[in-house]
Formats: sequence, structure tokens, C-alpha cells
Amino acid sequence: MSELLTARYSVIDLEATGLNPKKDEMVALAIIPMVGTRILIKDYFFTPVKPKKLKANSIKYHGIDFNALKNAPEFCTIAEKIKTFLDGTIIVGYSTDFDVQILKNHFSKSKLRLDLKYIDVAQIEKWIMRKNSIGVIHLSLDDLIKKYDLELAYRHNALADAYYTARIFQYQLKKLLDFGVNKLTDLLSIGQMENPLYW
Amino acid sequence: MMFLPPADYLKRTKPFSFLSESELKEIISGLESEIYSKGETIFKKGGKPLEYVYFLKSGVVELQGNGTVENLTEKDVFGVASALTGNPPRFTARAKKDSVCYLIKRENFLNVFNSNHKFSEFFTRLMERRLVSFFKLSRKNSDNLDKLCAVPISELISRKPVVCSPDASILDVAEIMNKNNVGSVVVVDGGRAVGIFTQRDLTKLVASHTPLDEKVSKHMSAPVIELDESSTVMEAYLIMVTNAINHLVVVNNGEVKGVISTKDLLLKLESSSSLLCLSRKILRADVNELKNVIENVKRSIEDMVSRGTEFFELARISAGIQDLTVKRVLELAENKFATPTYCWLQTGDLGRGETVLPLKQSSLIVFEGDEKQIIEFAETVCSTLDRIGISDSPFSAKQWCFSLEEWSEIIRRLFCDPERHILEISTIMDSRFLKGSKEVYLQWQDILSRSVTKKAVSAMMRAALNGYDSAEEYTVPVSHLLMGVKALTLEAGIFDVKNTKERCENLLKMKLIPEGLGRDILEAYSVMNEIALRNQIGYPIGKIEEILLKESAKIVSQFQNFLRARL
Repeated sequence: MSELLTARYSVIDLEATGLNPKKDEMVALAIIPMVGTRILIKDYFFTPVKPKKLKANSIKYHGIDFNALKNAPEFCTIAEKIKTFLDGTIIVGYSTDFDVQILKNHFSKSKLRLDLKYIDVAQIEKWIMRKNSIGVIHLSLDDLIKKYDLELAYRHNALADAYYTARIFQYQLKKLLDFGVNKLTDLLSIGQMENPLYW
Repeated sequence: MMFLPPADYLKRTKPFSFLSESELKEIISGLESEIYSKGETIFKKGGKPLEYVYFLKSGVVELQGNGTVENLTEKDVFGVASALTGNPPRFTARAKKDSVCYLIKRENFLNVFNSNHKFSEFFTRLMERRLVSFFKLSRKNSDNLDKLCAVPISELISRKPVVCSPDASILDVAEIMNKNNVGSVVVVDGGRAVGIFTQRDLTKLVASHTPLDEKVSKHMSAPVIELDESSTVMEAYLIMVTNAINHLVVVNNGEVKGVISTKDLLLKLESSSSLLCLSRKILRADVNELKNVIENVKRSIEDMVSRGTEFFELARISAGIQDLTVKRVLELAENKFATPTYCWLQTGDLGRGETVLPLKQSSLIVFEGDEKQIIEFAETVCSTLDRIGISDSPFSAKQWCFSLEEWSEIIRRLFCDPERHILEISTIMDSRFLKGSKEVYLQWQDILSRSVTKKAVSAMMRAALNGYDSAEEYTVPVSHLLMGVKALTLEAGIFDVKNTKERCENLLKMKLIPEGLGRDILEAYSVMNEIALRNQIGYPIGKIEEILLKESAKIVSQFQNFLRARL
């Protein structure tokens, strides 16, 4: 059986106080586990996270209610739990680079080391488009959701975004298998950013 | 719960929409999603009992069982029977296109199945093919009329019946009325109701200076329509509307238990009550008033359709009102024409009492004597009916007005080549006497029933097999069931029963059709008609209707196999 079908994945999406992964902090995290093409909706994980510096105006980035955040757990108190979720899995997301940077920062502040392997559905889509000799264009998450005919209108939030990313990845896995991609190393190189963002 | 798209999706989808928040959580905590490529097998017939119940999110899945193939589309649920019973699946499920399914863990599904009655009924009714009640269940807030259908009329009787003997004088009866403060008295002879005498009758007698020492039996309305006290309010309603009467005598084993009036029903029925008043208006209306009445009748019937009244009940109401109207128009026309001896028959859908909307003529005339007079009469009646809102059709008495001799020849010719004239034969066979000379009708009926040959019956059966063999098609012609049931009834020599429901019940009684199949046919027939009717007044064909039409299609093809084996 293809390695892609037995591998465990964590489809993630997070919300942050801003757009700078060095400075900004996580305020919500959603994880949807997958084994091969099977999405384990039942094991979904979602939590708001209380940032160290709680700025009232950052609501414009994440849309999460100030009061909800005041009562949310701090990252250090749930870091272990999140680590168990992510350990041994490949992280899947949209703009995963940013999410992983933020995660790494938070883990290192909690004195936890985690080797995070990750891939990006936008990159995988570009690879598939190239394979199909289609002109490669940048696709937003909304574009991808439309392309896979998943939903017409939905509410943006970490959990919904993670879920739709999982649905997109489910389709993509099928296509990759059709193209004969069976090794995880191949998947990882297909799903990496060509030009990772350096902050 | 945090906004999770599948949870939100299920919450909006039947039968998951019946679940409480905590039950939905239970489903979510057993939920997975899997993608299947075109051609991939999801599970195999006779394989391991299923660990999941499947919900098709997108794509097409094909179920292959014992010689049957069924295509499932978005929002279909499958694998329920195996998951419930722990038996191996009875069919193979294969993706016909790339498909995504939600998988619900068996334990979680069972927990909710056992805790939520409405949710479990949704599946069991479908599996047991109680299609009509399934349809009812699936509609939003089934209305109070639904509940009324089940209320026994005994609950409407609030006091002991006031009775008198047939020998009592009118004055005696007036005293009885006054003493008991009632508007009607049941005339009882030897414990049985023989008539009814109302305040209205009394007023008329007084106004016409009738001596008040005359016997009540001379002036009562008789015979009375009796109804067993276990009958439902719906039943009473149907009888009152279709007979345009004001009072019904409620009995138990023939013993008078009480009287119910339209007023009693009005209080219970609210808006469907308008038909009660309307049907009584028809009895005395002139043509202009009839037009007005029919318009209101249509609106009331549409209202009942949208509130989910069952097809056979609606059909009875609609046919009953059309009968009253036609009778009234005939009466009015008879005053103008010197008609020869004739009889008027309701035929086709109307003859079977199975038409609801639109109100359409379906009739024929049999006469003896002068042709010119009756043809003018028929034309006047048909165009009057058309004008008041019961539209003319190619199968109306305008075209089908013949003398007994002519009919005899027409029937002979039709039955010579039944294959070719199957539509006409099938329509005529459904004719029912409405007004005129019963004797002429019986002669005509005799000619007709003697003409029914084996050849004609098998032509009808073949018509029931024609042009339909795919379970994929949603637009299942109801006519196949109708034609098949009709053919079986005629084969059994039953000529006087026209209604498909009654025909089916007769076939069941005579054991000419397997019990399960007979019941399924009735469910399918009723539900297909109901869906068509609702669609006609603007309700779209949604997922639930699709499921029901598919289920009905399966029943039709089972019935066709049954007929094929007999041919």
C-alpha cells in the first residue's frame, strides 16, 4: 500500500493577533486528524488560546471575541496536548509556513521541541496543475474550496477552514496517487513552498 | 458547538434535522469522511457486517442487490439495515463517480437511533415501506388536520342523544327539543335510527301551516347516514362534505349514541371547514353562484394539499364536490330541456374518485330515444361546467353521448382491437353512475361487462408493463400501477369497484395479490399522487420526494414482475 494512504496527517488552521509570525501570537487553533484519505472528524480539536498581550483591536485579524479570549487557556497549559496531537504526523494547511512558524515560536517558549514536517495544499494544487499542463496561478483557500465544489458560502473560522483544507487534501491525495506518487518524501517535496517566506 | 461544517450540514438535512444538539454531538463524535474513486467498492454484499452507516455527501453510489440496481445521490443514507441488525450487507455499494461519504460509527448511530423516536421512524418507515406516513413525518410541523384524522368521533359527542319514536307528533318533538335545548332529534324505531328531525324542519312546517299533530315520521329526513363511533373525525368530515349534509348519527353496534352536526366539526377543523359550507351551497346555487363556489373550493383544496392531507382523502373530497356540482348543473339544465331517458356517468379518474386538481370533466351519457335533444343538453351541461371552473376535456359527455344501441356498437369495436383502444377501454371501465336512469345504466354496464375478454385483460396488463423498466427514473408513471390493478380486478370478474384503493383491497381479500405487494402498491400509488399534486401547486421535488419516488419505482417494478409472471 502507498505510504500516502497509511500516513497520519494533522490538518491545521490557526488565528493570530496579526500577520507577523515573529511577533504575533496565536489566538485559536484547529486540528483535524487524517489517516490516509480518511478524515477523522470525530477527533477534531479546537481551542481558543489566550495571548500574552491581549490587544482589543486585533479582533480585526481573527474575529474572535475579546471576552472569549480572556477566559481561554494559555498556550503553555495546552502545549503538551497539542504536541501529542501533532507528534508523528505531517502537518497540512493553507499557507502552512506562517502557521508552523507561529507554532514553533509558541512551542519553544513552552520549552518543547517538536520536529514539524509540513505541506501546503496550495503548493500541491500547483504541482497538480503543472502535471495536468494547466497554467499555474495562485489560488486562495476560497478559490480551492470553489474549485473542489465544497461549499458556496461559509463562515471563516479556524475550524471550518481546517475542515475544508482537509476536504481539499482528501481530493488531492487521490490525484497524487493517480499520478503514481507513493512515497512520503515525494509528497513532502511536492507540498513545500518553493520560496519559503523569511521573516 | 463550534462551527464545524459537517455538523452544520447534517443539522440542515433530514433526518438529522430531527436531532437535539446533544444527539447531533453523539453523531459527530463518531463521524469520519472518506473519498472513493469511480469504480471503487465501498462494501460488498454478504461481506462483514458494517461498522458504519454511510451518508453520501457528493457523487453517485450504486447499490447492487438481488437483481436490482439503485443509484444514490447526495444526502442518501445507506448501510442502515446491516449496521442495525449486525447482518452482512444485502447489496454491494460501489462508487459510480468519484464520491465522498460521511461515515457514522455504528455505535454512535445506534445510540441516537434508540434515543430519538422520530429519527428511527424515518428509517424504519422507509424500510417497511410505509411511504405515506414517511412522507408525513418528513414534512415540517405536521398540522392539526393530521392529528384530527385520528380522533374518534365519539369525542365530539358531549351529551346523550335526544330521541323520539316515529309515532311522536311534531308538537311532541318540538317540546322534546325545547326541554333538552337541542337543535335536532333522532327518530328511533326499535333501537335503530330511522330519521332525523331538525329545528329547520320544524320552522318549515310551521311556516307552511302543517298541522302539528301529524307524525314526525312523515316529515323527518330519512334515511339517516350513520357512522360508527370508532370512525374518525376525518371520516365524518368526508361524509358530510361529499353528501352535503348537516347531521350524522353516531352509532355503536347500531345503537344510537349521539348526533354530530357540521357545527361540531367546524369548531374542530378551522380552515378546512370552509368546504363544509361550500358543499351545502352547491345544492341550491345557480350558475353564477356555482362559479364562485368552485373557485373557493379550489382554494380550500389547495390549502388542504399543502397542509398534507392524504391523497385518497383529498380525492374523495374533490370527487364528492365535483359530483355535487355536476348533479346541480344537470338539475338546472333538466329544467330547460325536455331530455329523453338518460344516465350520466362519471368516468376515468373521476369515475374512480381519484382526481383532485385541476377540476376536469370526465363523463359520458347513455340515452334512449331522441338524439337531437340530448346532444344539445350535453353540450349545454359541459360548457356550463367549463364556465364555472370544471374544465372540459376530450373525455366529456359532449363527445361521449350515445344511445344504448350506439354504445353497444362502440364497445364491440373497441374490444375487437383492445391493444389499439386500450386508453378508451381503460377509461370507460372506470365509469360510475351519477344521475339519471339507473335502469339504462345497468343495461349499459351489462353490455360492457359482457365484452370484457381475456384478450382485453391481457392487453391491459401489457400496457402496465410498457415503457418503464428503470429504477433510475424519478418520474414514475402512476398509470402502470393503476392499469395493472384494474386488469387484475377485471380478470377476477369485479366490475362494480372502481377506486384503486378499493380494487386493491378486493384483490387482497380474494388473495389474488400477495399481501405485502398489495400494501406496497397502495403506499406507492398514494404517495406518487400526493407528490405530483404538491408539485402541481408549487412544491419542488426535493430529496425526500426523490427518495419516495425511487422507493415507489421499486414497487412498480416488483408489481410489473408479478404481472409478467402471470401473462
